[in-house]
Amino acid sequence: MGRRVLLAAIPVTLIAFFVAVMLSAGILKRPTGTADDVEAWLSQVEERVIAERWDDALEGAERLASAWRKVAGRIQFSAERLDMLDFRTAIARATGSIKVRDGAGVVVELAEARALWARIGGRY
Amino acid sequence: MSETLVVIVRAVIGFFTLLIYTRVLGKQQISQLTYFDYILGITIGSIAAALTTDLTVTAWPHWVGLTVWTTAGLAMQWVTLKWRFASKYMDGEPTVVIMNGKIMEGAMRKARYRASDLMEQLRVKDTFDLGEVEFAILETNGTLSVLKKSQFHPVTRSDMNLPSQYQGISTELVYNGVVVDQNLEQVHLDRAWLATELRRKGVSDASEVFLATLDTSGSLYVDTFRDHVASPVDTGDFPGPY
Repeated sequence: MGRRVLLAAIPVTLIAFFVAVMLSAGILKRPTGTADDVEAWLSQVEERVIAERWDDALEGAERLASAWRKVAGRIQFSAERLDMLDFRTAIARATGSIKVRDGAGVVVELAEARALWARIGGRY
Repeated sequence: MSETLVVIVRAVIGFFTLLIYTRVLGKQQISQLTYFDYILGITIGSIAAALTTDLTVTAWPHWVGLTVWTTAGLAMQWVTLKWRFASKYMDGEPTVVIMNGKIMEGAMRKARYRASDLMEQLRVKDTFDLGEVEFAILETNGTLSVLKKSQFHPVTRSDMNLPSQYQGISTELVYNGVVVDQNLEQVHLDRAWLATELRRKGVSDASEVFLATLDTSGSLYVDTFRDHVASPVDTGDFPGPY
């Protein structure tokens, strides 16, 4: 009897584990501290750009990119790859715009990044 | 973000999901599959392949597709098992293509079955002369069942009123050098008997045996790992190496 239960439990557990892995992006993108808080760094960079604190904004953009790398490692098995690549591109563009002090460009890129961030791990 | 790692993880998910789902779908043999079962298998396999390598979409929609197709297949199996009409409606019915020695052209046309197909499948059934066939039925899985005219049936022991012995399936006693004690017990024999029989056949230990089986007449077949073939037959027609 115990053996039969075990034999049935193996596939059920495996399937449950697979489902958990495939749907984990929404949970795994949540921050564990300030170093991987992508959403907070998006806001920080935007605020610094609007206040025209360009050096701080550039440092914030680097922290944002670093936070993204940490989160990307966790969510890569369950998030859509194209969204992840687009997010990375949006951050790179925002960083470029900060370097040339193009405030409008940064805000546009960050808005796109925010929309992508909301989509990653969401079922739509 | 590693593409290789993602593919590996998704391949593991696809592989084991497919393994579990095919196990759930049952033990139908390839030769017993209907055309629909065949297509179902291909589709499920193709979704699993996409799940592994199509990284433009998350694994989840592929996995849901895989699950839905498997569930639908399972539901169809259940419906056709419980409801004979549904079984006939979905799988179709066997088509009689030769009846009382006459080819049924109309039935063949309906089944889009050519005369060359008929001849080919008859040959597969060791029938090279149409005149020998009384009935030929095209089964729903595409195989042809052939009933020969009675004058072409092979003579059997019962035709000749000869005594016949019971013939069951043989039992594996040694597999890959390992004695299968469970099977030995089943045929009410022991390792001592096996060792004696093996020695009689020139084998000193069971570990030298690749396969040993016992048939219902009590005859032991033994194949050792070392095959002493004086002049081996080479079926290849190229010198190689491959």
